[in-house]
Amino acid sequence: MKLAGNRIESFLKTPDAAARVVLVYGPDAGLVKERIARLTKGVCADTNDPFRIADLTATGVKDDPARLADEAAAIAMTGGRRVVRVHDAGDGVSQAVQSFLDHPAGDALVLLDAGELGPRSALRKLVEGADNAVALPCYADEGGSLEAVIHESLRVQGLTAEPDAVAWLADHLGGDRLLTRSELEKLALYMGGGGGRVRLEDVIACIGDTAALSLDDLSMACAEGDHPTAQRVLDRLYREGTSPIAVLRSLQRHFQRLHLASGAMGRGKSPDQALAVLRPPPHFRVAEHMRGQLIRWPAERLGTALDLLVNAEMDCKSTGMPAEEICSRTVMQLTRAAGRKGPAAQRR
Amino acid sequence: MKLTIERAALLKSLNHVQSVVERRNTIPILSNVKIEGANGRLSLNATDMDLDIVEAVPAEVAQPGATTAPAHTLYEIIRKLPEGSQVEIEQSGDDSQLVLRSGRSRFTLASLPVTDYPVMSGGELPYSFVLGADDLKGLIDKTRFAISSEETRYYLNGIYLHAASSDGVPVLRAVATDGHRLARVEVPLPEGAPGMPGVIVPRKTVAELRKLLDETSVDVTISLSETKIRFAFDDAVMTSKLIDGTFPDYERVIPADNDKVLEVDCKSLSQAVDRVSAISTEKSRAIKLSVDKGGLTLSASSPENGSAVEELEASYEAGPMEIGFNSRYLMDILAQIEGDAARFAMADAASPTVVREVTDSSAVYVLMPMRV
Repeated sequence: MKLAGNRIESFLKTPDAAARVVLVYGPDAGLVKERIARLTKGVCADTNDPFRIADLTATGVKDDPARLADEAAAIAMTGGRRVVRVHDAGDGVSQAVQSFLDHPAGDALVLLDAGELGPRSALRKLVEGADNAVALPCYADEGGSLEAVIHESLRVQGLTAEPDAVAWLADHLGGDRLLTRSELEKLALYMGGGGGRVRLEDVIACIGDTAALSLDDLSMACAEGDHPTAQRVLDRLYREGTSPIAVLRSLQRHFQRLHLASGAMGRGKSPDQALAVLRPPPHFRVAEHMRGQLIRWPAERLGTALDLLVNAEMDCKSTGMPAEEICSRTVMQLTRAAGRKGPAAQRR
Repeated sequence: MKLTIERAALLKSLNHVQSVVERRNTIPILSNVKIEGANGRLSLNATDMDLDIVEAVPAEVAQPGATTAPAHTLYEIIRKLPEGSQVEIEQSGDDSQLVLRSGRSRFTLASLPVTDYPVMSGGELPYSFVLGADDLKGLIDKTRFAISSEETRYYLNGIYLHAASSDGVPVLRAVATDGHRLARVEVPLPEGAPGMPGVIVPRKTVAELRKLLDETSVDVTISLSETKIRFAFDDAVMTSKLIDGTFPDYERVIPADNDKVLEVDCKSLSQAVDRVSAISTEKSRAIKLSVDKGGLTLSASSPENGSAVEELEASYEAGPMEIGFNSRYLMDILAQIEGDAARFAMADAASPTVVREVTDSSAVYVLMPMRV
């Protein structure tokens, strides 16, 4: 079965004894790691106990499917329940997991950690559909959940924070749960360990920007007219060595998808139906943003945006002018254009 | 440097040292073997920075000197030369090339400066003792199967060698475990070993050492500190770093009062386990042993493949019990037992089982059952 929201936290506090396999997956690798560690600790206090914890790789399980069942059925030399962890699990281990769930010998808890698994993933479907298995998705913290993590981490350190400090933290953290925690620990160290109230200056002085900023974030910021974020993401992408052509191509892909969906809306479909036309369908979080973008961008302006992007790519390749400058200028033009709302939005 | 050596002698030594060299190396010099000719001997040295081996063989040294050459290429060349041929190795003024001649063959190999070759110093090795090659082989052979291959449990990735006391008698003990089975073998404590620290000898060192021991029966001088160990015999010296970790307190998992004793012919049991487990290997290697005064019954079942049962004669006086084992682990242990009969001391289906050879108590194996 699949758990979401508050049910995840309750499961982590008191795991269902009937669950023999727990799949912890998602884009937030730090959160995956944290939850695996919590579940492990729930069974075996010493997470390095060689007799009660077995660490297997997905390749190992795929090559030798009996290994998973054998490890789960094994009895610990020193007594106590065992934990069998399979790292980097993917669809390759589905067969072994299926076989184990059909005949779950022993009492060990099997923990599978995985990266992002799409809804069509065989492993995800298998675990979500099984009565004796649980899937825990791990998405990056944002909004209220990120603020809750910030407040909780600071409280453990005996700290409170001013609202603008929390807002700044929420803006700059959240890409990876472990990274968020380690940044907050650093902040606590900076505060001197004697408790107290964190001010905005303290936060700015010692916190790095750890949120995962990607090409997709840039597309979202551009299409929503959020120039400061777009510029911040763009700067980071350049620092990480992403080429301006890759940036422009990514923007083209996003605007093409918007154009396609906008065309569907022109044929009388609702924004939701229009987004459902896209292949692959957008992730539900992205879809939320794209609905707003479709209202902001009528079809003809999306066409102009695509022309702008194609011309920018051509300029990068043919004029000899600095490609980064061309790309930055295009991003600025797009965010400015997004600021002018489309007729549909203006009518509302 | 210029020297001539018989192909067979060079091949034998090269075979010993080249396997230390990893196939893929990020540091180029580590792909090479150091060749040094002096005083009528050719010395070959290979290292991966954790393990270092030096072996010397007699050679006609016309001009002393030293160089390095790609270990695996050199080995392949020598291996392919005709038997009984003489090999001439020469390095003239240019130290970037090594010329190798044999009969009508001539090879030019790229060499790297010998001054770049890493030197692994043994440092001070305060404990030193001598052990017969057969004793050392026994310690390795009877324990290495239980070495853990799980990289995260690095402190189980080797054989734990330490001085201990067995019924008041001082012994040198080798222990290995992977959490499912444990092997403990001992020999009388040699002179010089009392007070030695417990050390964990890495798996690769164990494998390379065992290869060298195959061809010798002389005594081996073992010197060690808390961080390094050195094995010296014949014309070979192997120095290795030790695993920096704490071996778990293994004594607490060896039960002393298991009272359900089963004695069974080792070979028959091993063959029967092999046959019966054929039914279940795809999804699980579990095998069930049902013991009663009448003997022993092995069984395995698989939802897809069906089931298998085999009966064996065995000596057993306690009450009936059923216990499951991983067939592979069981066969691994049975393969270590040299005598005819194996003794299984059990408590119940969820507690460690102690396996020994009926006539020899120097080796003890602990096998964890599994739920079937």
